[in-house]
Amino acid sequence: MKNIFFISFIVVALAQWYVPVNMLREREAVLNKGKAFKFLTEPIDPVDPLKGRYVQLNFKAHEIKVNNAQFSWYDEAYVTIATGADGYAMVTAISKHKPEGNNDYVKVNVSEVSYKGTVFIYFPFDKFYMDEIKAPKAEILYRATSPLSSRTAYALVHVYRGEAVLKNLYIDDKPIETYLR
Amino acid sequence: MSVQRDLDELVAADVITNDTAQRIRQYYKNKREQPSNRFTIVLSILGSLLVGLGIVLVVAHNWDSLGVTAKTFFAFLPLAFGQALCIFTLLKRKEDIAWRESSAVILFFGIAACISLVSQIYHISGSMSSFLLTWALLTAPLIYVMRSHVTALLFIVLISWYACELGYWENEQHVPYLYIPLLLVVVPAYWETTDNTHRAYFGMYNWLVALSVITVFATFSGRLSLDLYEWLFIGYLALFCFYYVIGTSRFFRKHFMVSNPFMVLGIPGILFILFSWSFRELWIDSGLFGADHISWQVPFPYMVLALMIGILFLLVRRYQTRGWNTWSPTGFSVFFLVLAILVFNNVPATGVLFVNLWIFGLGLYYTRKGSIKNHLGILNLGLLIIALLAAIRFFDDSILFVWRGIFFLLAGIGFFAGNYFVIRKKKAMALKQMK
Repeated sequence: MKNIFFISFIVVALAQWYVPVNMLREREAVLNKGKAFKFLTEPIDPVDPLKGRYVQLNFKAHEIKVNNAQFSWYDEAYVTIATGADGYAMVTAISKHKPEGNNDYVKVNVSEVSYKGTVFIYFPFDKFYMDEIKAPKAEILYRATSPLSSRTAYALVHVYRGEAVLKNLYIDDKPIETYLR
Repeated sequence: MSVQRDLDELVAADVITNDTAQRIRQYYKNKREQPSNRFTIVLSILGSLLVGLGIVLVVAHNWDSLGVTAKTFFAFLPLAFGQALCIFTLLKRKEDIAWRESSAVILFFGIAACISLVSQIYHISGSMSSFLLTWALLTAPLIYVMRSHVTALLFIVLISWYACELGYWENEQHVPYLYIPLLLVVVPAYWETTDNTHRAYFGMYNWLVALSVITVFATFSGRLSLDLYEWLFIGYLALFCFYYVIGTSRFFRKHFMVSNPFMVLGIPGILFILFSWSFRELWIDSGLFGADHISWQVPFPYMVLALMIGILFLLVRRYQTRGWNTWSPTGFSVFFLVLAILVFNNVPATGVLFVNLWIFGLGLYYTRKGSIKNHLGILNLGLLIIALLAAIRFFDDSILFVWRGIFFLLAGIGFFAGNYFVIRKKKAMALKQMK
């Protein structure tokens, strides 16, 4: 009886380690096995009450035209990613099931379906957490790289069998930190 | 010290035995220790809350200058620290409330800090609700393993936040079904505080649960609330009536008013909804059961029905045991409003009239009850209801000025006369007792 609390605590403590360690392990696996894609993006800077300040990423490649509109708002879907002629990531296909014979797909949610049959998606890697002082600066910096200028911002994302890990944010091929030092 | 001197004297005079004197000394010693002990507990809990929140905020800064390995190390540090404190407490300070509560609270926030930092390192977007749910599930066992009431109270806040995220704030809203079993998790801990030895916790549990249920209740309506607002009003009126019924139960009446949020929130809640329906506007578009898009697929209508059955059952049982002369109309307000909406759906003016009459009736009931019981608080509650009704109707231009004037005059005279008679009656009783 005396040890019940202690033994129960050890079980609970193991569970408390298992969850974050598993999160970490899964992401490391994607970084090691996954293929890297460059997603063209626009960053803006909001705050999360617990995880801190992050840069919200609005990706350019977030839509795909389909023949039959089998999707509705907030459906789960799998999108296949490929590198386009410009060197940046593009969505080549969308389906309700995992694509076979290809590892380069991501599990997403449908954000909108237009009447013309275009499906818009939310990517599960649209937040880039940053130092609370640097994040607002990152947004200001990006504003300087407006579409009129020649600068481009992209997120480097590793994709592997439905999972994706955002590795870093680049402006003109240089990691964002280099501009913020 | 006077007790010590008296005890020595009583022992010397053979009035009490040495053993009894020793027990009395021990009693006073324990009694003196208690307040300072309680103070230590409060300080430790406050300290650990601040430390825990501090850890979360420091983590949220997002230390970019550290590498992934260093960040990962720091992610697990608060978790390991909290767990080490808990293990130490379980092994060495098991009976010390201050240690148990503080270490559990630090671990509570340590878990959040750890998951947050891992999410930051890998830029995991994940929804807030799934994060809060993971946090809640990992902390729930601490309530019982560490026997920590503060963790249980924080847990209630956490699951309420989770339910609000899922039900109100996220892009795609869902009914937070898990909120119910999660809330039930704290029941055994809550039950422990009903024995009068944990009065402070008992009050805090009551307040948090009462406020949490009010906040989360509408999430169970799904999209229904957008289509049929009457259900939402009826639902909340049922909830407030239920609060009133349990707040006036024998179990809660023996506690202080400050520990009884069900009573404190129940009556204003009932009045707020009744007053809302005393205006014409809500009646114009209402159609409780007539609308085509009523959804029985969400749990809300069933919960409302269950609450109404619960109210009826508890009230009937109460009046059977206490006598029907203790009957109060307040708890029946929800049945009245449902009936009024059903019957006068197409004649808003009559519906409005009946709701006003019901509110007026409630005012009269409390005024009468206050004067019978010589209770100035209850008397003035009744008069306040009537005065509020008068004040609201002051702006109602569908009633003739002369009627509004007369109503105001009567309400004002009622205030003076009611209070005057009760005070006079109290004085007369006091004089009688003195004689």
